[in-house]
Amino acid sequence: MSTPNDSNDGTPTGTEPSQQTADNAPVGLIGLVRITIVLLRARPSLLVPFALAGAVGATSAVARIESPYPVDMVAFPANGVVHLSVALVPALEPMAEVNSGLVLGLKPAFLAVLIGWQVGLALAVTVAFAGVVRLATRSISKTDAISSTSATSEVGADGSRGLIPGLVPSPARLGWLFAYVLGVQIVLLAGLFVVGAFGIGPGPGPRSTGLGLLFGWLFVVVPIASGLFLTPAAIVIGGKRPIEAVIESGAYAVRRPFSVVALLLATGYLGTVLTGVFHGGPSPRIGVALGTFTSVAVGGTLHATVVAAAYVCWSADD
Amino acid sequence: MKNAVENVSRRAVLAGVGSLLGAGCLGAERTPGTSDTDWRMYGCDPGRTRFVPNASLPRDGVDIAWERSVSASGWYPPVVANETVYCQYSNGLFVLDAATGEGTRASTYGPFGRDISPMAFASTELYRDGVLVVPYGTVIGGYAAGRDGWPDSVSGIGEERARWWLDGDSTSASRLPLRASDGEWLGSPLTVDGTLVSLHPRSATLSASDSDDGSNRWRFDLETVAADGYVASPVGHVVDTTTGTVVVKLRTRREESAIAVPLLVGISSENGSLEWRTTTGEVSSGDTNPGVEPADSLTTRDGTVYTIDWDTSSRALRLRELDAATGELGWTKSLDRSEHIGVAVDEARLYHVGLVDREGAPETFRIVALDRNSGSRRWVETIDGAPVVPRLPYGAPPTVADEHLLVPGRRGLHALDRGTGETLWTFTEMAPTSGGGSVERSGMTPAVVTDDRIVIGTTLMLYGLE
Repeated sequence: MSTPNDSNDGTPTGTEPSQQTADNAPVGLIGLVRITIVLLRARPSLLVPFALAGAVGATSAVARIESPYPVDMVAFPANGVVHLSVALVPALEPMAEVNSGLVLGLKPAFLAVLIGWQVGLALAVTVAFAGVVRLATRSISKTDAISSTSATSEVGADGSRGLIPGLVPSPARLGWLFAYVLGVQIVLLAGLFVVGAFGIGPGPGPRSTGLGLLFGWLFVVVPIASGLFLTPAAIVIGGKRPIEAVIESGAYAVRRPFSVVALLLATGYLGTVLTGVFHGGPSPRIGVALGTFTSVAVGGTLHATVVAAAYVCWSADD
Repeated sequence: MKNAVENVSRRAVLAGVGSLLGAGCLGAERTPGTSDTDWRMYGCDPGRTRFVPNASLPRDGVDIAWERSVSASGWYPPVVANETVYCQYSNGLFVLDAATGEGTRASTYGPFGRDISPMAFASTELYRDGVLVVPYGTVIGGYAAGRDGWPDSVSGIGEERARWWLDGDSTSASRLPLRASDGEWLGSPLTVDGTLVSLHPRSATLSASDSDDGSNRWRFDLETVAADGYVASPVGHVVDTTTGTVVVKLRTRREESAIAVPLLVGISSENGSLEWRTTTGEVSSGDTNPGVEPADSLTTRDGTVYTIDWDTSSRALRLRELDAATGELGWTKSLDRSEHIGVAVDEARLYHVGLVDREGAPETFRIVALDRNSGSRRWVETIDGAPVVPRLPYGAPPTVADEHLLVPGRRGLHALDRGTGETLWTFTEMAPTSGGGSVERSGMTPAVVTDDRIVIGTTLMLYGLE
């Protein structure tokens, strides 16, 4: 396992690591939560990248409603149904729900527009994720995992006090992250097409439908998503290519399955819950815009921060 | 939930902008394009005229071009679009080439295609294959329609192929909860140039929706047209494309009262505004013939509406003419019939099929051709072999195609000369029975005509005739 930032295409900008004494202790789930809180209190500017991405997402969601594409916008709570979302990367349209019928039979021009739309969203996620990582990594310290949140005062004037002296993701890393995010989107779209084209779905009867979905979610979706959870951080911070990053992320998921699953579900669920902040407002479109913005700005920032913190700390542990 | 309707004008503007951005800029046309060989909805066209002028049918009898057998009938009326036949029966959906009968039988193991009213087909801007519209009472589903994409089996409600759902109040890409309703086949969805005009009995609403995503264009609350203290129950609807009017037939009734007041309303198909309302007289529920109103008792063509109801005073069926633009009543024609089966209309004549006397002559049904301008009789014919039950799915309405008037009956399919009423031929096939005998296959769907083919569902067999 390589240490973060040992690749040639990352650009160190800060000082050498300064928290060596406390960095020998392994960091668990609670420690990561503490680190995330400390980071956000120390650097409110961490919210900026995903706030901008949230504006993009809100605009995109409203445009999606007005477009002829059949897409649903569902806010929390949705008709009493509990949505247990999992997010491989922060979703810019967390309220959007699509089904397999969307992609079946699309004319080439509209398929191209749809893919272009997803490419644009993937680009916005990439830039925002890299922005959060750049701001967060220089301040990630394992001291925060075991000390009180008052440790924020320890952040220096230049913000550099963490395990990693600071990181400006190179264009190459951004490119690989973009490729990964886009790949995830395309795989999901292709999955929808396969489901629709080949009639793959739950068996007949409400019982088998519910059980099939539950088992599929528990034993297929969650394990795969857990294995991929740290992939973006492995690309941007670790400097890995996507396949290497997937393997490394999977290794972390195997070593810390409970922590990864808990973070995966917590970040996904938080993103969903925040969509309902403006539920029942005067206008569905305003509700969609504000819910999307809030979910992306807060949920996306937390997601990116905790992924970066987990990768940095667990890399240091190893 | 997408497109909850709040402000029609704003929604219309936004939808227009969205369509412009999403489709207009791409120069998309609605596909598959309409053609003379289409039969896209129950009643053939938005006016439910059942008239196919450009068909080419033989005068001296038909041959079987193809046949598909089933183990249980339960036919719903076929629809034809893009040279493809879609026909639902008890246990599956046929998606077939209209010329050869080759294609898929998608077996169904759930609610897909069950307890529905007749399907419809609409062209789309986004999709090559159009959308197959399946009405489950108040909730309507729009499915990917491509002929080659249907699997051998459809589980559940076929959500894998569903693009949108609507119930008159809202639209969703996720399945809306199905609720039982008393929807009549006359209220099955109509498609007009990419717009789906649908009646929702449970919420008593009429709505117009986009066929691409089911988004609402306008919505009309039918409760608002009933007189104070009355409750309105929609029976069916047609669209007169000449005047741009949606004509809705309703039954209004004071709560717990025995008196029903039939009501016809005209609504602009452009923006959903009320244009006119006309009552055709009070009917005591004790005298109401329950088979009359729900079954195909409304049709329109070239700006004229024809409605059939039960005349309480003469205790007979009554045909009435209305102006589709104003609702003004025209001629009235009394028909000495005990039961109504169906009606069809061509350029010059109106054809009515009904039972003469269910008690005295249950095997006999009578067909009359009336002049559209005056309501005067042109010819009348009586045929043996009446349907066992006059209402669908056992007694199907007639079809006018080429020089023929096609009338399904207990003995199969009858073809009459539409100009004179002369019987041209009767198509009869026998089906084996479990006792070793045989029985005539009854015509159980309307005769759907596409070019030189007649598609009809009969007892345990779907036929393509030529």
